[in-house]
Formats: sequence, C-alpha cells, structure tokens
Amino acid sequence: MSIFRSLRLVGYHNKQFFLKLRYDLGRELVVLISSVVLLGLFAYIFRDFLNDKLRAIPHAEQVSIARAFATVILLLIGPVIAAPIHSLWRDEPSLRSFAFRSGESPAAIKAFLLIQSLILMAFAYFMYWRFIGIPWGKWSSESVWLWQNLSLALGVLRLILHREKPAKTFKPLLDDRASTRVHTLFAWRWKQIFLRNRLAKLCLGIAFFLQLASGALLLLHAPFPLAILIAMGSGLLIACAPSFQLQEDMRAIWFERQIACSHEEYVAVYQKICVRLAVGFGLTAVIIGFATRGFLHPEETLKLFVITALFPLLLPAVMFQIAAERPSLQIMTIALIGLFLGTAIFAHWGAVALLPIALTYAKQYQQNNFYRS
Amino acid sequence: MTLHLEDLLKQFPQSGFTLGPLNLDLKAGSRLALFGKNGAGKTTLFQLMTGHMTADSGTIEIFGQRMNPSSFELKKRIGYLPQHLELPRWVSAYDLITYAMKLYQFDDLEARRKAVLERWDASYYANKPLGACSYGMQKRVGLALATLHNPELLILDEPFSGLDLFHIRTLEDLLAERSDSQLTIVSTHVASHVAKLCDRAMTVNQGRLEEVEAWNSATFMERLDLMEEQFFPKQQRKSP
Repeated sequence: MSIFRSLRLVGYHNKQFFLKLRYDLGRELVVLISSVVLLGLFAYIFRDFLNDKLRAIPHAEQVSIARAFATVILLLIGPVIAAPIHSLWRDEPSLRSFAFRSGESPAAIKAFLLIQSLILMAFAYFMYWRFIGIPWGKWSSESVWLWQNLSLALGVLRLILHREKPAKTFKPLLDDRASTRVHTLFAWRWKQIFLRNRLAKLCLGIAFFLQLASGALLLLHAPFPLAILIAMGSGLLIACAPSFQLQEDMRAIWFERQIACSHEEYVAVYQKICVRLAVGFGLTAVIIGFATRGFLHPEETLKLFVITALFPLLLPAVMFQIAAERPSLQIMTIALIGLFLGTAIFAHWGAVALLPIALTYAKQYQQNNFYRS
Repeated sequence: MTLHLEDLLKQFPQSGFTLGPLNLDLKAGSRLALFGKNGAGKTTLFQLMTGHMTADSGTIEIFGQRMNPSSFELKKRIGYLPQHLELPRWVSAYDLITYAMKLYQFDDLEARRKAVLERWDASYYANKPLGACSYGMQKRVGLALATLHNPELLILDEPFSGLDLFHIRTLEDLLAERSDSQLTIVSTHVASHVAKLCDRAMTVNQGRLEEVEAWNSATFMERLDLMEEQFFPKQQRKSP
C-alpha cells in the first residue's frame, strides 16, 4: 500500500528534523534562552512606561489594536509556512529526490509531500490559534473564514514568487565606468537589492506599504504608540532587505575573499547600504508623520525617523556576530535590540545616546569575522 | 621561491584530522599535479595557500610575502578555483565578470570581457541568470574568474569535473600556454588530464605531502602508472 510507504517517508522526514534539532541543540538553546531573558528584561524595564502608554488608550481601541495585530500575524503565517513547504517540494538533495531515485512510486512520494505539507500547516495554524488568535481577539466564523483563507492565499502567492522562473536574460547590472573597489562592492549589492533579489524587494515594498498604512491610521486619529509600533515593524523589514542580500552574498563569498576584500571594506559597504536605506525610509516615515499629524508634537513625530532608521542601522553591527548566512538569526537579534532601543528612545530622547555606544561595541566584537564566517 | 610552506599545520579537533606539518618549495615555471584520496586534505591545503582558511601554525609565503588574506597586492597575483563552486544566482556571467574586472581595477573592460567570454564559450549564455545555468556552464564562469587576470600563481581544485571534452581541451590549452614565470597547481582524480601537462606531481596522504618520484622523467603512459600506483600499490593489485 503506497499510503503506508508515504507515512513511512513522513516518519523519516520528521525524524530527520528532530535529529538536526538535537545536533544543533546547544546553539538553538542559547538563542532561545537569550531571547527569553532579553524579552523578560525588556518587560521588566519598560513595564511602567508601557502600562502608562496602554492606559492612555481607550479600552475599545486596545481591543481593536490587539485584534489588528492578531490578524497581521495570521496573514504572515501563510507566507512564513510557505518557505518550508517550498523546500519540501523543491530542494535538492532531499528525502523526496532520494526516494524518487531509489525507485519509490511517484504516487507515494506525492502523498508524502501532501501529508507533510498538511502537518506543517496544521501545526503552524494550531499554534497560532491556541496562543495568539483566540487569546488576543474575538472572531466571528465569517471573519475566521475570511482571514484564514487570505493567509493561505498569501502563502500560495509566496510559493508562486518562489517558483523558478524560466530562464530569461538580464540587462547589465554594472556599467563599465571606472570606480573605486569599495564603490564597486557597494553598487553590486545595492543594485541587486533593488533589481534582482526578490525577497529584498518584497521586504522593502511591504515596509513602504506599512508606512502608508501608518499614515492612514494617524489620519484616523489612531494612538501615536501604534505608529511607533508600525515604525518598528517597517524598520525591521527594511533591515531584512540587506540581510537577505547578505545571505545571497555568503553563498559565493569565496570570490570576494579571493579578491582580498577586507573585513572593514565589506562591513563599510553594508554600512553605506544600511545608512541609505535608513535615511530614505526614515525620511518617508517622518514626512508621512508630519503630513498626517501636522506640527503639533514635532519632537514626538521625529521619533518616527529615528525608530524606523534604527533597525537597518543595527545590521552592520550584528552581521558577523552569529551566522552571516542565516538571516533569521540576524533578524531576531536586530528585532530584540531594536525593541529595547526603540522603546527607550520612544520613552526619552536621551536614549539615542545608547545607539552609537551599542553600534561601536558590537562592531568591535565582530572584528575580522569576515574571514572566519 | 614562488610558494614556500614551512611547518604548516591545520588541525580539525572534531574530526580528528590533521594536515601537516607540511614543508614545500615551488618555483615559478612548474606545473604541479596534486593527487590524493577523498578527504586527504587537498582542498584544505588549497584553502590555506589562498588565505581562505587560517593555519594553526607554520608559515605560508607567496612571492616572498607572508600570506595576508586581505592584501590586494598579493591576491591579485593569485587565481583560485574552489572545488565546490558557488556563484550568485541572480546575476549573469556578464555581470560577474564585469564585477571581477572592476575589482581588479582593469581599464579595457569591454575587450577583456569579450575575450574571456569567447575563450570559455560563455557568450551565448552571458546574460542568463547563473542560477539557471548548468554546473558545467557555471564551472566555465568559475574558470574565467580564476584566470581572467592571468595570475602568476594559479590554483585549480578539481577543474575538470563537470566540463565536457571541448572545454577540457580549452583548459588544457590554457594550462599549456602558461609561461615560465608562472606557477600552476592542479588537483584532479583523472590522471590523463595532468599526465601530459604537469612536470611535477605530489600526493596528499593522511595529511602529508609526498613527491611522486620519477614523474618528471616519465613518459605519458608511465605517469599514468605512477599515479595508479599511488592509489593501488603493486602488492595490493589484483590480476585481472
């Protein structure tokens, strides 16, 4: 019976996952414990400040904000879970390709892929509804149906984006004009982020959309902390773009090493990229802020600039701290540090002084890791 | 001395493998073939020589200078093709070669690019994303990158794998053209590729380098035998 063979493949696949988890357990536990400790510390330090801000928001608005965040997370589940499903169906080498080459029937392999995809989706959505969806919001059956299907549709969209396009030709990325080595290193990455790297482009697009959404909410007199929270989200997405480019770079980093690119040059290139992104998107955030709120609280609106810019500015300081080829770890690190610094800056302008200290310390800590990564 | 290794040592505590201590002197003008079983340490040796990996102890001197991985003056005299060639997926061969030439600070980009693409028969796919190119096509781009600056020291790790007969001939011609002021080191498992090109041969065996004696004076067929003997010593050979 091919279904039993499919189930056996499902068993092998999941056993493989747990073996890998056990192999990396030390590192994964360190990351998990550090994250929990940092989040706990964050809650402890900023508890009073956050409670004050929360109290200022009427209860009905608090409920809608919580529901809106629960909805955003639900929408994100689809695209997030699409990545492992895509790997399952397409990656080489994989259990699927091994089974196929070993003579396993295509029907059994297809059933295995379907069952495993369903397991992944069921797990992700169960965890969501159990820990976020139900505790954070009240949902009618129609809204569950609507948002759940939208989330699945976004997942399908990501799968379509992931699909290898038929070979097409590219226009030249660089021109033939003479330039310095650092400028060439910069232009190579900068143009890839905007013209070639689909994930980077998607992140920047969503970040800009979030900024527009924030402007629309401010026009509707939504509470300002919500705009700050959205600025943090869009800042994190902006930081994701160079982080995904770095992951792409690390695939073929032997060439830059062969051509004697130094650690300082490489970090300086990412610094330049991140500063440009930070200033560009920071300015859009603040312009949208002033356009929608007016000049009533200018010093508060200016915080939108700093908080949006903060996240991409952190990337050059953390890019060689853990694993340059793993954007998920970098994004998590940036999210945690950004949450701390962003909230501190929101609480008091003086916290801006922490930024250069944190950046200098982190850059020193990763000195020369370009050739070790 | 073009390449000088002195007491070079690299240890991998997790696997228990040790490369070295190695001592080696190579002069310009020679073409060295490097053989060895899988996992013997050939790729590690190449990564140490090219500054892609740091040794635990010992010295690497190239053109009389100590290896400094971020010295452009030194690295521009070295060409390297890694065994596991990874190229960026979302750029084309045209882009990558332009990028490399700009980093090498060349002037006549258009002429050089045209020549290198033609030499490696890559013009017809020069604008295709590298992610959509076959392994052999990517290998030719890798060889173009390793050789486009006509380096004094050329290190090729398994350059023949994935190439078709036509491009194997292109590579053989390129190696044969290299001048007396240049040093070439090639690792391969196919004896016939290097038997006619290399004037010196060494094996890497359990982390140690051993010279293949009599290689230089041997004929093509004798060299094939010599190489076979490194893997199957006569007393272990079974009669057909």
